[in-house]
Amino acid sequence: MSLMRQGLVIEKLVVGLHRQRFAPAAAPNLVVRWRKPISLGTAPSKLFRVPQRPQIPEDELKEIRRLFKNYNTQMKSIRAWFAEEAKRQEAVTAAAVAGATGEEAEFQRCLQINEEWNKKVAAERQVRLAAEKAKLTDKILTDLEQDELQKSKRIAEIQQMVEREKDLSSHYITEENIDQAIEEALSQEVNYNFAIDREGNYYHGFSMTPTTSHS
Amino acid sequence: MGCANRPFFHIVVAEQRTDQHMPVIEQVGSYDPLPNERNQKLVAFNFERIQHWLARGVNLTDPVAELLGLSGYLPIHPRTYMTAWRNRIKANEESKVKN
Repeated sequence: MSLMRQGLVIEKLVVGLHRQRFAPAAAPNLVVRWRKPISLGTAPSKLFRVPQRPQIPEDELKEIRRLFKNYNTQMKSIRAWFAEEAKRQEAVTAAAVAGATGEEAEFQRCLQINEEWNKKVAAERQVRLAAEKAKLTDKILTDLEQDELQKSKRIAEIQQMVEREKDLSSHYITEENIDQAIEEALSQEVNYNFAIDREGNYYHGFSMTPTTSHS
Repeated sequence: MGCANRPFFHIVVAEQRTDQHMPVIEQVGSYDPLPNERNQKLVAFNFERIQHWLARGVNLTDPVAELLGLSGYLPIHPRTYMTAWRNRIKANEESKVKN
C-alpha cells in the first residue's frame, strides 16, 4: 500500500457494476444491480460512436494555463509547508512523550548496571584465562620434554641394535668364508637325539645324567 | 453514496488504485450537492486530518480540490473560474437570444 498513491476521492453511487462487488465500508448496504457483460459486445447503436473533442478557444486556453500554473505553484508551496509542519510536530511530540514516560532515564540506568556486570564478568574471565594459559604452557613444556626423552630412548635403542649387529658381524658368512663355512657345516654332526625336562636339562642318547648344554 | 436520484458524497482518503467499492482508509468530510431548505449545499471538512494527509503527500481529485478552494482552505481551483465564466457566457447568450 504505497502511501504516495493514495488520493482523496469522492465515493458515489455508480449504477453499472456487478452485484458481486462488495459494499464499501462507508455504505455497508450498498450494492449495484446490473452492468452489461463485456462478452456481449457493444450494441449496434453505439458501435460507431466517435466522441467529440471539446473545442476550446485559444484565449480561453491561455487563461486556463496561466491559472493552472499559478495554482500548481501555490499548491506545491502549501504541501511543502504542511510537510515541514508535520515534521516539527512529530519531533516535538516525540520528545514530549519520551520525557513524560522517563524511558530515557530508565534506559541509561540499565546501561550502567550492564556495564558493572560486564566488568565483573570480565574480571572473572581474566582470572580463568590466566589459569588456563599457565596450564597450557606447563603441558606444552612437559610434552616437549617427553618428546626429547622418547627421541633419546629411540636413539639408544638403535645404538644398541647397531652394536649387536657389529658384534655379530664377525660371525657373518661372506664370500671369503663361504667355502670354509660349508666344510665346517658338513664336517660337524649335530645330534638331535635328546630329551629335555622342565628345568631345561638335556639328556643326550640313552644317558640318565643331565647336561645343561645342547651338545 | 446516496440513493437513487439522490446523490450524496463522502470525502475520503483511499488508495488510488483500489476499486471505489473497496474499503477506504479514512473519511475526512462529506458533500451534499442538493440544496437544502435554506438553499445551502452543505460541505463538511476535517481540516486537521486533511493537513496531515497532504503533508504525507497525497493526490487530490479535482472535485475535492475545487471544494477545498471554495472553502478557503486552499487557493481557488482554476476550474472554478472556468465554470464561472462559461456560465456567464451562457447566461449572456441566453439573455441575448431572449432579447
